[in-house]
Amino acid sequence: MSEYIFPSAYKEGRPVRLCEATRKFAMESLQGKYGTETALYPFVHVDCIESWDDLNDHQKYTASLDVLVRECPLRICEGERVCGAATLGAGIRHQYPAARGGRVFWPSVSHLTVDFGVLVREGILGMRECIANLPTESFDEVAMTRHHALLATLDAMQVWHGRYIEATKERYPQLHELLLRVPLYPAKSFTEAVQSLWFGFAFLRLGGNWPGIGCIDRLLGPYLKRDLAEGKITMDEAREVLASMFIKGCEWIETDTARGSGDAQHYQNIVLGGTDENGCDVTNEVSYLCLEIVEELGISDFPISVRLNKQTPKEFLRLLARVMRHGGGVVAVYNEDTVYSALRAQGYPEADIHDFANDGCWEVQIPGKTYFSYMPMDFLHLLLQDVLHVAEGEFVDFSDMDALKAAYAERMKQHIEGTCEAVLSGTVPAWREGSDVFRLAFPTPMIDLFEHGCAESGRGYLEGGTPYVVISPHMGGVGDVANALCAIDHLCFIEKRMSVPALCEILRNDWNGQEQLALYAKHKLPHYGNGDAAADAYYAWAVDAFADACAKYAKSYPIAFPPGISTFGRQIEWMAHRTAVPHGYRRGEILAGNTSPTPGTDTAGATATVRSYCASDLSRMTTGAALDIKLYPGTLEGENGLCALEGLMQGFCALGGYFMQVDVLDVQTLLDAREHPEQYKTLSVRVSGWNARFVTLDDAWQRMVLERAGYLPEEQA
Amino acid sequence: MRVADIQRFCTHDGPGLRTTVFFKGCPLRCVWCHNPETQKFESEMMLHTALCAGCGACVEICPAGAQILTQTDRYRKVELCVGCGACAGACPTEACRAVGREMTPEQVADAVCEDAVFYATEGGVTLSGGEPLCTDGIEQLVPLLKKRGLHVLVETAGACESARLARVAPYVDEFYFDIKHTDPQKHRELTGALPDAILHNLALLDSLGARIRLRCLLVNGLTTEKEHFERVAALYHSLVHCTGVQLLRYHPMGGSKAAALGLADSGRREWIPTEEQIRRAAQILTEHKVPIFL
Repeated sequence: MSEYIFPSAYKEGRPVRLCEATRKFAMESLQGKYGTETALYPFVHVDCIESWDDLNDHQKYTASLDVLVRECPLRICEGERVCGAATLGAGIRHQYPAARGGRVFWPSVSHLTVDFGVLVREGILGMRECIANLPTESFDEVAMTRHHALLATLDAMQVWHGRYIEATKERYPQLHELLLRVPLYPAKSFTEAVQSLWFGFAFLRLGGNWPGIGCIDRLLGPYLKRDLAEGKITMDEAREVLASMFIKGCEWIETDTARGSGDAQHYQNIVLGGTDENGCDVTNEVSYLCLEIVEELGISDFPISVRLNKQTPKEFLRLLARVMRHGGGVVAVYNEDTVYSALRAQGYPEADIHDFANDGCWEVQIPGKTYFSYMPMDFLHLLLQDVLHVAEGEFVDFSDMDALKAAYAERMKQHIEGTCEAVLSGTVPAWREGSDVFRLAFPTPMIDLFEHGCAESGRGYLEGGTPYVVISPHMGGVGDVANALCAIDHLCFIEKRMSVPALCEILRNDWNGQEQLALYAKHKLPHYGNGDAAADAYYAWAVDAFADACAKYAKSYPIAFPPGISTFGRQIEWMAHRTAVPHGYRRGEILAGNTSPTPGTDTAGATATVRSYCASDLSRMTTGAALDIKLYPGTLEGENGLCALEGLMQGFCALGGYFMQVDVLDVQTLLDAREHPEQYKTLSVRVSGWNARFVTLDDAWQRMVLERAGYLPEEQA
Repeated sequence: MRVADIQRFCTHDGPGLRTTVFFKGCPLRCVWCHNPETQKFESEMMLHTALCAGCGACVEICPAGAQILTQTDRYRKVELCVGCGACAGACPTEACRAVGREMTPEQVADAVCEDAVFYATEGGVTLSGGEPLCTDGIEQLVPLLKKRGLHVLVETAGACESARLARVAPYVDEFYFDIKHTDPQKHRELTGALPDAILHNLALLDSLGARIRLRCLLVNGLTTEKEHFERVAALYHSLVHCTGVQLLRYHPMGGSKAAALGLADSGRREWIPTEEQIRRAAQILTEHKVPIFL
């Protein structure tokens, strides 16, 4: 037994495999010891840099990076097996942690998975040699600035590394030995590979960036396999080393975080499993170790996604189910078949498709080769406001449902077109004249080192240096769009209770005076999410119409705009501008998240929800469509609970799902955590693409999580 | 066939992920019944007052004047209700609900198969109730489910026609067979029937080679005596194809459903068995070398 207990929704608790020192380290990290320490030292002052105004942005960046790596605090924790720490607090706030006149001046980069494999395989020196030897004859002055910045950034990394070598010399001989080899040189063993990977990751975070790691088992698995075969390490030892990396990944969790949309969302995603280009499943010892570590410690930084396919080993699926059962939404799943179809349709080469990871949440991207961002769009608002004109009172009559759908589809098209054109004119104004250089927002040489194409092209991550530049329009509110369309069809055309303008008038009045009708629409009409083919058809239509609306720009160059579906919790902020909806909800009620059903309308169980979600062709949603499933811990007890989770995942794949996050939530525990936050510091919940500690969510976000878990406030019950 | 409900994502009614079909009608009247809405074979109405929005739609539409809604009262006069279902149709919140839907065996099988993709290797369908073996059409349904490749489990109290049981048995993968009580008189007091026919059916199933799990509900003070479990052990040893005995705990949740039916709330907290009673029952069975499922 252990002195340190990590919370679980499962009554039998979590297994204990790691040594007590590692568990203690994990508990301290999760309770915010290192995050709080980090926040106290937000940045380094770079006022000492002379002739600042004469420097260009890249020179400013690298000059301040040089100061930063020399002056930032070092941290070596007792019991850690890998070394290096992102110790500047501005990084936690998504800023480049250098300040002049006491103020930081640049933001940092997130929503990407970079290729740390370059560092693990080549080492700093190998990377330097490779970049130094690149043909630069064709580079203009601007490209040469980028080129020099890359070399200066590698130098800075080496300086920082040198400080850790020095700092470990006396007291930490094992770490010292390790650091003498990596990441300067290529990693030769599993432990070296983990150290090298962690050091690269921590270095980017030291500069305030929030990268994802991606397919860690593909990267580290071969090293572990070899070491195990040669008897150099045992699985238990390897677990301790890897656990150290996971625990250190929590070093940005603070003890007291300002409440909001939750902490622990630094997009440090890890992807496990899946098939390679030969169609073989790549699940290996590292895949198992990662899941075992989160099963034991409940660490939700890093959020993990598993790529499921027909070959996913049974034992791995079982372990995955076990981890899910503890709650916290730590692990989510992709159905690889759908993702592959989506990426093929987008035109990615086969070699890249098999490498897919995500942006740190779950939007799929080709790691190390993609600039990515997304544009959240409230499609329910688009329907209520731009098609039905509910708020203005200038209602349009529609002769039938087809006419209404046609108007809505047209509006979707205009909206996507307008947005994409605005991005293209704003970001790449000279695009139409043949230039493909983007407008520079701020320098990114740290990121550029780990993104293919940047060094070779002399262009940065934000300047079109990567092979793929993706800005994904994301449809928000699709569950409510489906329910709204279904309700309009029933009330106005099938049952002929009223005209569309009459319904709009009722919505404008927030259902006042029509309470009975509102109840009818809310409870008796069919809803998306119950496996009801008729209701799901409205959802499938909406997804298709959105995909059609995006078609013109989905593969455009130099920026592609492939579609996806998400809300990422924006249903909370969208409440303010949405009116009452045709399916009976009043203004101000929290509606559906991501691709999930409207809270309170899904009554037929998780399998029905999955069937509904899979009723559309999700491979058209190139960057993804997330389904949130909430389950009660009581339904998942014993062997049967695990079988049920496995069955749910297998059905999800067989029916063509894309991405599913299962959270196991006990409403009573959440209510108790709301009352006594001090007792639930480490209780994690899945918010959307990320996890957060429940106590760091503000009221509205906590309410959303509770309502998703099936809790109805008294006035609604 | 008259179906009370089809529940999905069930994890407590047999192996793996299952769909459970609850049929209307049961010849027994167990005092602790937790599914009182499945006792009657006919469709009937329920009123969940907690869901009632007080709109009065049911009062307006009820031809028999059975719905009562005043400032202080909200109930249904069961003796006046003609079971026409008009209130359920008019109710906007599903506070008024009809229990009992006519379905053909094919329709039931189709509804079950909607989730077949989730059953994986272990899961399947569980037929429950009520007493599923008293449902007309069960002889058509069970082979149909088997034909569609599903794992079929039947939860029964054995209170059914032997001939029907024999016809269904070859298509059933496993029976969960309730032993209400092993003392014949107590059995009659607690369920309204003597156990002779039930025990005959149990022996018949065993002789047909059916896989059986016995299930005993522990109800504090009613089914917790030592002698009862000793007789259960003997019963187990008299069977060839019985895999063991499952001990279930009484819960009073059926009470609120009884209230919604207009019956007295039959749920009793004092019937919940103690941990000690469960431990003792398990101990007796173990001492008698009976495999137990908790």
